[in-house]
Parts: sequence; C-alpha cells; structure tokens
Amino acid sequence: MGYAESYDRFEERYEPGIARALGFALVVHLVLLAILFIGVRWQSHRPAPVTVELFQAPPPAPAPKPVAQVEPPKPAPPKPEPPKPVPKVETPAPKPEPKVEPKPEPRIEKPDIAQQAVPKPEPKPVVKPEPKPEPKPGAKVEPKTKPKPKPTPKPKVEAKPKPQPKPSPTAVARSELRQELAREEAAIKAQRQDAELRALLAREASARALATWTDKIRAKIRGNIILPPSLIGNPEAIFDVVLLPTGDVLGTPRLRRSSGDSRYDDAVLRAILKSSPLPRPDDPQIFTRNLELRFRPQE
Amino acid sequence: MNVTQDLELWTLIVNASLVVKLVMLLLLAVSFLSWTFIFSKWIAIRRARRQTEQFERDFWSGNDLNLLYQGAVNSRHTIGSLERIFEAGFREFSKLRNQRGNDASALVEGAERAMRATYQREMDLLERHLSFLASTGSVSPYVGLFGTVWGIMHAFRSLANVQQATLSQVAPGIAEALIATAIGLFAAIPAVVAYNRFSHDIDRLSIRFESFMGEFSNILHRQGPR
Repeated sequence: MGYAESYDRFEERYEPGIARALGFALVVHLVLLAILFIGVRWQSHRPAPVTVELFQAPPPAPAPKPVAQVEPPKPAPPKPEPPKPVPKVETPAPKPEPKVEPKPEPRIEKPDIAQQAVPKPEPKPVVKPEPKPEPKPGAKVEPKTKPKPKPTPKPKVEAKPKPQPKPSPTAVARSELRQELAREEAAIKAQRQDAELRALLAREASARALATWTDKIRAKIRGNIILPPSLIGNPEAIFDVVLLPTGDVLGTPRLRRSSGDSRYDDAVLRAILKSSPLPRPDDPQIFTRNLELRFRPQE
Repeated sequence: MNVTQDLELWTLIVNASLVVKLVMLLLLAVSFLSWTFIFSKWIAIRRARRQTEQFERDFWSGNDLNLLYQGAVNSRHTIGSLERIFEAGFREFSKLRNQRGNDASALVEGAERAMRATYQREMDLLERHLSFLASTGSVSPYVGLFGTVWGIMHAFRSLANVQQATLSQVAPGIAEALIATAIGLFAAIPAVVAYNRFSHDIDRLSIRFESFMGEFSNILHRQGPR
C-alpha cells in the first residue's frame, strides 16, 4: 500500500461511455437535420395551377395552324382563270421542244411562282398534267405541221382542243379547283376563328387574372368589415379605390354608389382603409391604379 | 430576387455570407460537443448514482468493514465514488491505528482528511465538462445573434441601391441570417437544461457523500484506537 495508489487513478480515469455519448450526439444532430431538410420547406412553390391550365387551353390552335399556313396561299387564286393564262404562256415553250423537257420547266417555274404568289402554283399542276397528255394525240400533228416560230397560234390550238374534245376533264379540274377553293376558304375561316379565339382567350385570361386579383382584394377587405347590426337586405356598395404599386390605398376611397345604408358604407370604407396595403396581383402586368370594388353584406 | 423563389434551408445556408457561415459552423461544432457531453455526463451520473446506492446498501447491511475494504481494493477500477471515499478513509484509519500513540480523535481526523481529499477528487471528476455546458448555454445565443445581425446588415446593405424596396428583397437575407440564431438556440437550450439538471444531480450526490463521511467518521470514532 504505497501512497502512489491513491493518486495514479486520478489521471487514468476518463469519462465513462464517451464513445456512446458521441454516437448519441451524432444521432441527435442527424435527426435534427433530417427533420429540418425533409420536414421544413419554407415558402415552397406557390400553387398556381389555375393560370397554368388557362394557358394550356390555346395549344389546340397550333394544330390547325399548319393547315392554315398551307392553305392561305390557295385563297389568292380563287379565280380559276388565272391558272389558264399561265399554262398558255408556258405551253408554247414546251411544245417546240421534246415532251420530256416541258415537265421540268413548269416545275421550275412553279416554285418561283409559289414563292412570289404561293396560291397559283398548286392549281397549275392539276390543270397542266391533265390537258397535256390528252390534247397531245390530236394536237401533236397540228403543231408539227405548223411552223414552230409562231407561239401565238399554238396557244389557240391548245385552247381549242381543251374545251372541245375534253369538256369533262376541265369540268373535273374546275370542280376540283372549286373544292380546293372551298377547303381553302374554310381553312381561312378556321384560321380567323382561331386567331379570334386566341385573342378572346388572352383577353379572358387577363380578365380572369384581374378578377382573381380583385377577388383577393375583396376577400381581404371583407375580413375586416364589421357588419352593422340590423342591416336590411343585401345592398351593393361600389367604391373607387386608387392603388399604389405597393398595394397601398392612396387617399380615401370614393364611394361611387352607396348601398343605401350609410352605416354599411362606412363599415366598408373603414375596412378598405384597414386592409391597406391590399394584396398585389400575381402578374404585375395587370396592375391598375384605379379599381372598382363592389361589396355586398352577404356574399 | 424573385418572390416565388423557393426558400429552402440548404440554399439559404449556401447563400449566406462567409461570416454567417463561420458562425453557423462554430455553433454546429459547439452544439455537437455539448450534446456529446450531455450524453456522457448523463451516463456518468446515472452510473455514479447506481454505484452509490449499491455501496450504501452493502455498507449499511452490517458487513464487516475489513471485508468491504478488501472488496473495494480488489476491484478498484470499477468501484464508484462513495466506495473510493470509504476505501481512502478506512486505509488511513487502519494505517494510523497500526501506529502506536494515536488517540481516537487523531485517528478520525486523519481518516476524515483522507476522505475529504478523495471526495474533492471525485466531485471534480463528476463536475468535469459541466462548465462547458454552462458556457454553451449562455454564450451560443449571443454568437448566433451576432451571425444574425451580421447577416441582416448584409441584407440591408444590398437594399441600398434599389429604387423600390420591397420585403421580398430583404426576406431571404433575413431568413438566412436567422438560421444562425436558430442554431445558437438549438445548441443553448439543451445545454442549459442539461446543466441545471446535472448540477442538481451532482449536488444531491455530494450531499450523500458528505453525510456518509460524517456517519462513517462516527463509526470510526466508536471503534477508536486499539
């Protein structure tokens, strides 16, 4: 039993269970972090499903668009006549040369025309292919016998064969043209309706945004209205309110139309002043300085 | 700054300024340490109380003091504080008794001194780290507040060159600054509670030790010199 015995233990002894304590502390902090990060979401995404749906309504419009774009060119050639003169002018060139060439030429010309005046190109192809093959048997002999230099007679010859020998083909072509025309016109109409619809939707959307904003404002104000006792009926009071962009009410709201009950008017006026600043619109675009607010005691 | 911006906790912490980040880091470390001490103290005090109760039962069950002393010496690495006090006092007493010429009061006084010394040592061990909890409890809210004040200063300074100041321009800055205070409070509140609780427990233990010392001195006094 030396003296050392009572001392040596002092420094040796350490806190019991320090490892366990460390583990516990770690667990505590991990749990806290988990709660904070998973459980607490401050000011998370605002619910704005209504506006999203509103703007999704227009999308159907794009589908008609492609059709409308192809068709608009056609409307210009509503007259079946313009296509005819063109073939006449073109035909002289192809005839002097072999049959094979005329085809490439019209094709080349068509794109040009198509670019300048898109409407014409399409009707042409329909008309040309049909008359050419048919008149050729009869017409071929004539052009060959006649001198090539005369371009004018040729068109005449051609023009004649078309109406005489084949009344039905031209009729078919015309009816097709008409049909196409009708389709184009319908497309134009559809396009216009589409544009109108879209404009209407946009107007409606902004109107609705304005309405939701005023609804929000009125909801806030209504919460502050202290209804006077013994209020009879459901009279409507209309106030003109001037707003600052911050939502603060500028000056004193003007009573445009009294509800007939001055106590109710006063209550609404007080509520408006008390509710300042009023909520701001979600979309700053629709903000207006002058607002007309309508209140009814029972809403 | 957009109003619809998502104020998620992590983005707030990441976007905080350097000083605020340092403060948060410091507070987090302090909080971790203080929780570690809270648990280790909790375990230590619970164990000390259990051992004390066990030894009091053994002591007052009328066992022979020499047997108790031998038991304590044999398992000296696992015995509790009260048993250590007993061991020190009884060793001193038997040593003095083996020397001739000591009267009863001298024997008891020697034993009491030995017990007092061991008692101080044990109390020191029990109270170790408690001061850390106390400082954490009193200081970390101020540290957190410092971080918050700094962050808010930052938020307002960025507002200086804005024409039309809105709440949404300061809100994220203030929110991120307030996180520092939140962490400070998170570190401080448990520390304060644990400090009060532990110092109360240790006080009760020390009272138990002291009363045991008094009673044991009486027993030794009765035994007297050979």
